[in-house]
Amino acid sequence: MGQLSMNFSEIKKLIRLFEGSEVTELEVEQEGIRVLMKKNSPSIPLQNQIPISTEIVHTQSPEVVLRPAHQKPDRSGLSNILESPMVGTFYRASSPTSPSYVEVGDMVKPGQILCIVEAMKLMNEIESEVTGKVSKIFPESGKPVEFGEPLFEIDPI
Amino acid sequence: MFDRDIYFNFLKTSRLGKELVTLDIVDSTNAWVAERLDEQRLHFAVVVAENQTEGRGRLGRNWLSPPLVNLAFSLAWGTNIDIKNLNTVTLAAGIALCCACQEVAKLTPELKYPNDLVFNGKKLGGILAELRQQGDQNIVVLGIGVNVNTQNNQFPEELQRTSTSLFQLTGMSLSREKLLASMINHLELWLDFLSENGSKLVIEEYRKYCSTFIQREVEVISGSRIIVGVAIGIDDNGGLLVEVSPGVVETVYSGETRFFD
Repeated sequence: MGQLSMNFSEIKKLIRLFEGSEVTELEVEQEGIRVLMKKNSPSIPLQNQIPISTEIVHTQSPEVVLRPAHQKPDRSGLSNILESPMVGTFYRASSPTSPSYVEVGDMVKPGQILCIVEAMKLMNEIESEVTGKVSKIFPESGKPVEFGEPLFEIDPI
Repeated sequence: MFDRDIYFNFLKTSRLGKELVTLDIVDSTNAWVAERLDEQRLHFAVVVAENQTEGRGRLGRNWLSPPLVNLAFSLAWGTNIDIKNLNTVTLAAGIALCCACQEVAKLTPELKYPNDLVFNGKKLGGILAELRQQGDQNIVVLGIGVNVNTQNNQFPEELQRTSTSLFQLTGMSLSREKLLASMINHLELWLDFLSENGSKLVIEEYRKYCSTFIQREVEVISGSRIIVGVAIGIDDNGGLLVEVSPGVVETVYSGETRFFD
């Protein structure tokens, strides 16, 4: 992961600009950090405080949690989709005789290995970056995956 | 035993391999390094073992090697280059090992896709890499095994027909220390080259080392897929292009390859 290039105040500025505009969807990506803002309905007048969904999670603190571009929430904003960072073969276990790293329903935490994507004998151990529950595993083990292809859906806790 | 002085006499790197860890016995040098990535001093270190009890091959397979005669080593290489370009790190490493064999043994192996060192169809060595993230850096742990001075009767029976060593090919007992230093010298050159130039030029060079496998029939077991066809080239991302039927080409990026004459 690279250094975060957008700080909190810049993102707040972006949100204010977005709120005051007639633009209904805005996506900004900078050095691996993607911010997606969406107004729920373009037909609602602006003065009615249109709810905005973003890929930035506001916590109560109010800290901002930025996710790297390859782990992003789905359109509902309720869960995270972990995407493949590279082209390769997807493996759910470290060897054919080993148990899977995770199963659907398992709780995972940041840094926990979820799978391996292999390309040219480079075994890339893909880790979770959130705490949550695995709700979906998209590819079958042993199948090829493309760059950006969804691997896991994780419901954050 | 491994002579550190000889190794350092031949080492010409700026940072890779300046720290050398020698272990008498270890389960796996890759595992040993991977467990210690918090130690900054190990980020460009080389860890060599006289005896590996559970040397790692691809997907949990073992790398078998008799003690004291071969090279089994791992190194950690920290880099900021993006994962897309890192895909070819094992190809760059394969080229480096071929250069070192040429320099020390006067013999140039070929690279069987993706990076097995082979000579006359017999396996001389292999590379396995693991990618870890440590803060902002990607750290590649490269595990390398090369058959240096193994005599034929030292290979397990099932490997005697498919494996070979530099000793068997040249008739000379080689200095493992000199060969390791040469490998690290070339690895630093090629890893830096990858960092500075990206994958494209690495792949261009790699094509020269695997050219004898092109236009040959191949079977690739890639995960749960088996692809059979004719190897027709390496694409610009390092994938092996396999023509599975006239005009239909599949690209594979991983798997066990078996070539036929």
